[in-house]
Amino acid sequence: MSNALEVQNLHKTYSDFMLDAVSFSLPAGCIMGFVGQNGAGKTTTIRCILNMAVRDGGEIKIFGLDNVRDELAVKQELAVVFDEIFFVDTWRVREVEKAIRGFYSGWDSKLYGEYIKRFELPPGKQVKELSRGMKLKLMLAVAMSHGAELLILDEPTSGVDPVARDELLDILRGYIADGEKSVFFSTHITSDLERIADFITLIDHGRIFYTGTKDGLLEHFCIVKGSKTDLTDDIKKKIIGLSVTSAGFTGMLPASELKGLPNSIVTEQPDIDKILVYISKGGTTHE
Amino acid sequence: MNRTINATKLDFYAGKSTLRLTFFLLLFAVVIGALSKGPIYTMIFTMVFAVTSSGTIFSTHEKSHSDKLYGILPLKKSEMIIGRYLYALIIGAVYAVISGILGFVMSRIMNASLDPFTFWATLMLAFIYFSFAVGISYPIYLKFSFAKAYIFTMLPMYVIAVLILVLTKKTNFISNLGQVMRFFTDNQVLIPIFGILIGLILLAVSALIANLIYTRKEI
Repeated sequence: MSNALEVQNLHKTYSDFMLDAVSFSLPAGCIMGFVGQNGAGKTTTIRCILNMAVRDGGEIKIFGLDNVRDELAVKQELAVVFDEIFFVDTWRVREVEKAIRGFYSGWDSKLYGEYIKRFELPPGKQVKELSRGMKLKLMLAVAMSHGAELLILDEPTSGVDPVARDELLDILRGYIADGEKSVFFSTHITSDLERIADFITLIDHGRIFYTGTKDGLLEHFCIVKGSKTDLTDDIKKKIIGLSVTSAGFTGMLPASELKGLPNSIVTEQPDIDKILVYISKGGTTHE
Repeated sequence: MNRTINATKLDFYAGKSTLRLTFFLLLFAVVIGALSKGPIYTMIFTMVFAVTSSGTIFSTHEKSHSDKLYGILPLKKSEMIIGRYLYALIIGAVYAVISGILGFVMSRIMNASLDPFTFWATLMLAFIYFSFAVGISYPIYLKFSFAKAYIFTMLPMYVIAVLILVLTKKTNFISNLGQVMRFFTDNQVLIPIFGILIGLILLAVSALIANLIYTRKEI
């Protein structure tokens, strides 16, 4: 299977933050969730992918093309939705197309019209008059009207109500239905990803903590709970996000480390949200 | 070239919302000319307001987070810059035509004398001022953003004042001015040629500087 997006050993340094050897790949026809707490490096990674931020090292390939050297060709194949709308707020919905279509060789006005109708966007309304959910749909309509093969979403569901979020997931499912299009979905609302993502990449403090299949992630880790007496130095060393209270301890362990644990320690399957919480408390890289 | 034209078109679509402002600015220029009984004041102020009008595109784009839009469009940074300067040039040219028409019409209505030399000299000096002001403010807006750099909008005026001061103090500028005036009085056809040429050179130099600034900037 060919990759829609490949990031290899990406480095980017700011005075107060750095991306450190970020690597992952998204196979074509799949949805990858890009998860991390606020400030983990999700947006910086996306800015590097879009060449909005200049990388200090590493390689980024989109459909095999370098994102800097072949920027114009790459951006014909890319569609992007950000957390805030980037169209002039006095534009009417129908005017957005007029301003944007000239840039894309594959622009399909009929398709744009269909999306506007399907998303129930009023063509005469100004961008500033649209609700948060409608703004998201307008960005999606533009993003999906020029035949882009890779859709990048950067925290699109922040501040969007559950109904609109559910609609977004349906739209994304429809978008990848042909098996050729791919979605890279950055979010911290992990419940969305549990329903839709094939792959998950977890980033923490500028480093990739996990990248692989969603099922692999959920099987890879286990939450462990026990009394203080169960907490040996050996377990302490292996545990991720250890939290000790008077009642006992809790943390996360790689599933491979469960062998030999005392029977008194309770284990349970984590969800992505919990994994995120534990790694934010401290952990190491897992692939 | 097509992408550059698309970038200019995008600026015009974005700038459409400031049309009402343009109308009020032109009305203000007419009022100034009427009150001072001098059509050349209308001509000058029309071109001064052209600077304001062409600068608001930065404010519009910043308010709309257009940096993100430019980040995703298949468009080189240099093409965006050339597109933006083309936009400014078109605005300047349109305002210059309006300035000329207003000056001519007002001179007729007010029965004020406006000989061809004064007309062309005023129009071309105003166009040069426009190019100079845009040439200074655009790279500053690109470097620091409109919101932070708006205070520098008056910078071109200060620069001109300082330049005149230096020229009058350090050179025999005033005495030479007579010669220059005589030359242009004798060769009036050269006024628009020189005016447009100087304006274009100012904008071209500024565009080169703006391109250097913007291509190094992370958006």
